[in-house]
Parts: sequence; C-alpha cells; structure tokens
Amino acid sequence: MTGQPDVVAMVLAPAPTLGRRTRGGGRLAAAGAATVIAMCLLALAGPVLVGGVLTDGAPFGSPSLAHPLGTDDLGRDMVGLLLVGGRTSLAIALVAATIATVAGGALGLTAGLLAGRADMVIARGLDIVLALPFLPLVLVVGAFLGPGPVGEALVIGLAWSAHTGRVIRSQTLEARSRPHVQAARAMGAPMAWLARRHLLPIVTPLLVPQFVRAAGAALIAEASLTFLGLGDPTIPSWGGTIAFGQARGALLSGAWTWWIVPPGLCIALVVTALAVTGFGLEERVQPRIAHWTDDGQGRSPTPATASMSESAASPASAATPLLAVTGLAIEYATDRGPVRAVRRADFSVGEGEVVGIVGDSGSGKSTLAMALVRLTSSAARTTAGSIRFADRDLRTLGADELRRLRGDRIGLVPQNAMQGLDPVIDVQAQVVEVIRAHRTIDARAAGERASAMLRRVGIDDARHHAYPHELSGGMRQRVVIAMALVNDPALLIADEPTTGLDVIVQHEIADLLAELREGTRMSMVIVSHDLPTVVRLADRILVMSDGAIVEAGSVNRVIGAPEHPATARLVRALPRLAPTGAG
Amino acid sequence: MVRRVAVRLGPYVLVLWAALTISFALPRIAPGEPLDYLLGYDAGVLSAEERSAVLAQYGLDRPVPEQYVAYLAGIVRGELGTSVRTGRPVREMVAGRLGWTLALAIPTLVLALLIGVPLGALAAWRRRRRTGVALTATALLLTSVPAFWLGLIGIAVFAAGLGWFPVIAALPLTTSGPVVVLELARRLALPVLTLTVGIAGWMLLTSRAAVEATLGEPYLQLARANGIPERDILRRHALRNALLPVTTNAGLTLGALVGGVVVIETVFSVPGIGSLMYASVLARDYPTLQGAFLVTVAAVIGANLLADLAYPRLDPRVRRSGR
Repeated sequence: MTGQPDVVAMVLAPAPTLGRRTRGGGRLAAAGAATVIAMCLLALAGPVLVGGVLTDGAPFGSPSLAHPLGTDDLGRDMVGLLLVGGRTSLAIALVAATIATVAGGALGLTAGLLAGRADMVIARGLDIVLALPFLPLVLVVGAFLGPGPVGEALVIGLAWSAHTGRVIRSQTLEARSRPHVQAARAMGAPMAWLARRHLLPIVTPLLVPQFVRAAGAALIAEASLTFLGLGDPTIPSWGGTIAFGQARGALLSGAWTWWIVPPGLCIALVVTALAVTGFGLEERVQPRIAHWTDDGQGRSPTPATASMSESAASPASAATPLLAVTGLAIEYATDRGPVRAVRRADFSVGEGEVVGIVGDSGSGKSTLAMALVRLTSSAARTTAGSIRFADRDLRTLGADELRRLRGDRIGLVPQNAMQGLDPVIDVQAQVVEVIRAHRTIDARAAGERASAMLRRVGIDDARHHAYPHELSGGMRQRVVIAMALVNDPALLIADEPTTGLDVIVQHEIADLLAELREGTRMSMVIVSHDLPTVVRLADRILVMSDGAIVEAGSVNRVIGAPEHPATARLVRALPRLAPTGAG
Repeated sequence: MVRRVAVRLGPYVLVLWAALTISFALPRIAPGEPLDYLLGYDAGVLSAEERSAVLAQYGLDRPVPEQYVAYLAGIVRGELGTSVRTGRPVREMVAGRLGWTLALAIPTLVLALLIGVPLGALAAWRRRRRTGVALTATALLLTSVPAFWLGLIGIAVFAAGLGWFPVIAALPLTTSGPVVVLELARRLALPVLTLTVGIAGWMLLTSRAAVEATLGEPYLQLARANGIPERDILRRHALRNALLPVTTNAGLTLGALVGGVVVIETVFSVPGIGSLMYASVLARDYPTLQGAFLVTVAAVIGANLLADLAYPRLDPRVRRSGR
C-alpha cells in the first residue's frame, strides 16, 4: 500500500536478534533443537521404560514414590500418562507442521517463481485464509471432520500453510530480486534453470525455520482443540490430560499441581524450545540490519602515543582554533579483520573559517567528518588521536554531553540527509524538535523560530507544514540545513551537501550555504567529491587519498599548484569554466 | 467515490465471502450427508417421507448452485439458521452473547497494546543489551504457553486458592442496579488478565519487529545528528513509524485475540460467543457453530477495517495522495 516491506512476512518471520551474532544464534538454535529432540525421544522411549500407562494406583492419588506425579481419577500413573500423551501431542504437531511446510512451501514457491498473475491469485488466496481467525477456523472445520488426531493434524496443517506460504512467497520474491539472479535473468536464463540453480538453493534452507515455527503453533493449536473437545478422549494427550483434570475438579481439589501443571509445562517447554530454535535458525539465514549509533567509546579513552608529540606542539599556533584534530585514526571491523579507513588526520578549523575536505570516494573523507561527532556506523572505531572542540575533547566526551553539542553548537548535514527527514512528521515540526531538544522554549515560540529559519533557507510559509514527500529534493535539503542551523551553531559539518541533486539545485544549495554564513562567525567543514562546490565555499582545502590527508592549503594554492598526484587528478577533472579565484 | 469505497472494501468483502463459502461447503463435503449436520443426528433414522419433507424444508432437494444462492440471500437477510440444541434462531443466540465477548476482548486489546507496544519498542531499541534479550525471551515464553492452561492455573491460584476472584465469570441472575458494572469488572478481571498475558507477548514481538525495521532508517540518523535525545528518537520517530506496520498488521493480532477469547471464555465460563462455539462443538450443534464462526469473522473484519480507516491518520503519504 505504501511501498513498505511485506509486513506479514516481517512479523511472521521477524529479523531475529535474540542473543548475539550468528554464533549466538547457532548456539540458541542448538539448545532449542536439543530440547525438542530430547522431549521427542522421551515420548518415544519413555512409555517403554516405565511400562506404559500403569493403572495400579488409587484414584486421585497424591504424588508418592510409586507415582511421582500422583494418579488421575482412574488411578492411572501420571508420569506414564504424560509420556504417552507426549507421543500423541508431538506426533500431531510434527505431522501438521509437515503438511503446512509442504503445502505452504509449494504454494509460496509457485507464487514466487511464476510471479505475475499466478502470484497474484495465490497471494490473494493466502491473504484471505490469513485474514480468517486461526483458532475459530480450525475449530469449525475440525468439528465437521469429527474429533480425533488425524482431523486435528490435517486441519491445523492446512490452515497454517497460509502462514508458511506467505513467508516463503516473499522470500522467493526477495531471492529473485538479488543481483546475481537478476543478472542471470537479464542474460536470458530460462526460469526453470534459474529456479533449480539459484532460487531453490536460497529458499530451501528457509523452509527449516518455517517448519519449526509451524510445529510450535501446531502444538498449541492441538492442545487448544483437544481442550475444546476435538481430541479423541480415548487417546491420552497433553491437552486432553489438562481437560480431564479440569473436568474432574482438579482445580478445586488441589490435585492441579501434579495433574494440570506438568502437561502445560511440557507444552510450554517444547513450544519455547521450538521458538528459540526458529529464532536461532533465522538469525543464520537472514541478513542483519546495519545501523548508526554513537560508538560509545566516550568513556574509554585510549592513550594514544602518536598524539602526544602533536598535542605538545599545538599551542604554538597563534589563536586556539575552534576545532583541532590531531593524530586521528579510524578502523572498520570487517570479516577479514580491521581495515584502516583513516590512517592519521591532523587539521584544524579556525573561528569563522571554512575548510573543504575533498577526495575520491573511499578516501575516508566522510568517515573522518562523521567521526568528528562520533556518528560513524557501528563497525567503525576511532583507534587513536584527539578531537578538540572549544576546549573539549569530543573523542572522550560523555555520550550525553556530545549529544547536547550535536544540533546545537555543532550543526550537521549528514550525507543523503534529504532522504532522512521523518516521513510522517511535517517539516516545521521537525525543525521545532531540534530547537526544543536543546532549549527550554514553549511550543509557540519554537514554532515561530522554526518558521523564521525555514524562511531564511528559502521555504515559503505555505510549505512549512508540508510533509517531506510533498517537497522536492532541493527543498528537503533546505529543510535539513534549516535543522542544522536553527540553533546558531559555531560549527557546521556538511557531508556531501549537494550530492544527489541536479546541477542547478547544487548551485542553489552552495549559494545558500555561502549566504547563510555571511555576517556570522560560523565555521564550516564541507566534505564533498564535488570540487566546484568546495572551491566556491572554502577558504582552505584538505585533500584526502587512501585514508590520509595528502595535501592542505588555501584554495588558490591547492588549485593553482597541486603538489600531490591525487590533487592533480581532481583539479584536472574540474570544469574549465569553474571560478578558480574564489576565497 | 463509489469506486474508491469499492477498492477499499474489496478485500474485506472477499474474506467474508470466503468464510461464507467455507461455511456453506463444510456440511456438503464433510463425511456423512448435509442433513446430519442440520439435524444434529444421523439422518438415516428418518423414514423416506420424513426425509423428503425435511430435505424440502431446508431446500436440500434443489441443485447445489441454487442452494448456494439461497444461502447467500438468507445471510444477507440476516438468517443464520436454527440451533439444533435449543431450537432458537442462531442470530438471537449469538446477539445475546456478543456483549460478553466484547467486554472481554476490548479491555484485553487496550491493555495488550499499552503493555506490548512500548515494551516491544524497548526490546528493539536495547536489542543487543540485557533488557532487550530478556524482554524478547519473556515474550517468546509467554506466547508459548497455551492460554487455556494459563487460565486454569489462574483459577487454581487466584480464584480457588487465594479467593481473590470468582471461579466463574458469568453474573449471578440476582445482580442488578449499578453494582453490575463493578461486579462485572471483578468477574472479568482474571479472564482479561490471563488473556492479556499472551496477547501482550504477541504485541511485543510484533512491535519489536516493526521498530527494529526502522532502526536502519535514515531519519533516525538525522535525528541523532541533530542531538535529539535517544528517548525522543525512540518515541517520536522509531515507534511512530513502527505504528504503520503494526496497524496494517492488525488482522493477525485480532485473529490471535479472537482465538484466545474462545478458549478463555470456555475456561472461565464467560457466556460469550467463544463458549457458545465450545458448547456447539460438544452438542454437535453445527448451525450454531457456523453462525458463531461467521459473526467472529465479521467482527475481525470489521475491526480490521477500522484499523485500515485509521491508517491515513498515521501516514501522511496515504492521506494526501488518497484525496
């Protein structure tokens, strides 16, 4: 409806994060599976060991040595009943799960592979079954089939196949959209070959967690149906034992502790073990979500030997700069060990100064800019150096103190920020939120202040209550800039502020930034691979290549007489008509 | 306008139609003959004349397509058949019990939303920390416990054992006047609480998945860049956006709720639609069972439609483009 992910599939097979990382998921899955297998073996072998259901006790017997869980109204031993009952309940659950996985898997795969009209028909059909309340549906159909384990397994399995089918369908469609499958299709590979060669190997393993899920749901459904009178009263089962206990007054007599509690615990134990197994398995087969956080290194400063000499040397400069970066090194954690993103960065930004950082993509410039305020992705770690901003070290500052600086003293325009406005909140409210995150001010005054700022970035009043999707890319970027500047920061860090916009709008945004800076003492750090924009705005340029600052100097000097090959390459790519005399 | 309403209602009508068709087909494809299910006993005991008279009375002597049309027409007129057990119209029996079911389902839904959604958001937010893992594990455990068993344990401990609540939820006939509301609250407290446990667990898992899906979204990064406190990022941005899939997903949640209602009503003898279904299964009262099922489906669809209508209030992208 709104281009969201397939939410049904998402909820039925949520991205699993219980436990830690893939190995933790594997351990969880193993523990869960071991529990399930142990319970199955117990149900299979147990009755043989204890000699089946013994009817040798007194009716309503309390637990004793001969009967550790007491006896029921017929004097049957509860331990034997529990073991034999487990056979029925587990068998029904496993058969139902098999039916659901086979039927649902077939439907989901067919829909996903055929796509188009066939997919629409199957998906719509699955949706209809999913929209029917599960338990009432199986209860009604089961009642017509008549009581008994066969009917129970059949009804539960078929009804649950809609869930399985839905998940498998969306996973098949996802597999189809993977680049290597798309590429094979584009080269004319027949669908049958694609399915066998590429899609089935991806989707088949996904059936395993779905089977596990189905088994858990089926065990609960079976117990509920049996409790509601659809079981065969002559065959012991966990649900049936509970129902009998209730019917024989175990709740009021105190017998419930050994009559009703144990079978319920058995169900809960197996279903939980199955759920945990499913979570663990899905953890292994689904990609993890990358997200951005404060790297949380604030309170653990590592003394960096490299920066010692640097910090001793820095007071030599005339006035204390607003921002001074010394010996900064950043690593990315990858599967093949740490990779250096920034090897060693030393630079400073004076009050009112505009510093441009340029370089090829992958040169580490964005990582450097975001690391200044500790907003790198969670894989990145700052390993050495210091970041002094107005007498504070941002590298070791507490997380909340740093949070107070961001959006207040330090304004930020992150990369692709125009895609980063909240889609469900109007733009003025988003600016207001930034004001109120840092200032105690009533809603009305904040609203006026936000509107004034929006006007300054060139958004007329009629659009102040627009939602992001109603604005063009350039307009959204203006909103992002308004958010960054609304609290009059001393420093603005803009990461690729013009990237992704068309050429005219790029110029407008660059002009806007220049204009907004006029008459203020605001400093700026502009990161861009777009040299003309940087030339237009910056006083000084830093050139980055391969994780290091290879050249630094005034715009005229660097553009006029590049010393490093990387700089020369960038300058050669500069359009001839670009104004080189700025600054 | 008409077209938009049709597009909006289409899927719901389709589900209702599917439920009706299942209900029509069941007695005709299940073992035995349709007449058995209408009478509630083996039609083989009837004499030939009695038999043809009954067949004619129910229209079963006509061709199946004709029966189908007549069946649908009857439903449109609000006819749900006659109960085998009581001889009363099914419509009346169901209508008399709807109030109890709603009195159980609505407070449960509200409670489960209030508990499950914030905790689910927290579980997603702290997913790598102890809080998140503990919350998720608890929710998994709670949704793994059969609702009827939890209800029975609740009765044994809190009603029979501690005597805090009555064992049976139904009101004694002698109750009247303003006390009714209080008495009702006291009697429904335990069923509502036991049902809430499982549904809140389900809500927790649902909203956890939804919030987690927002964690990679750029608007959270922008909010961090602007120094918005984490608590506000979670509340105003992550949770707010997560409400969208939670709402679109209302159907599954309502289905789980209704399933829980059926067993919990049975356990606590709440005279609602769920216990009516149970009684009908035991008495082989198929017309009543079918009627109760259809009303249940209609209720779930209706609630789902309400959620769907509320959706544009949550998502401006749908709101404006829908005009």
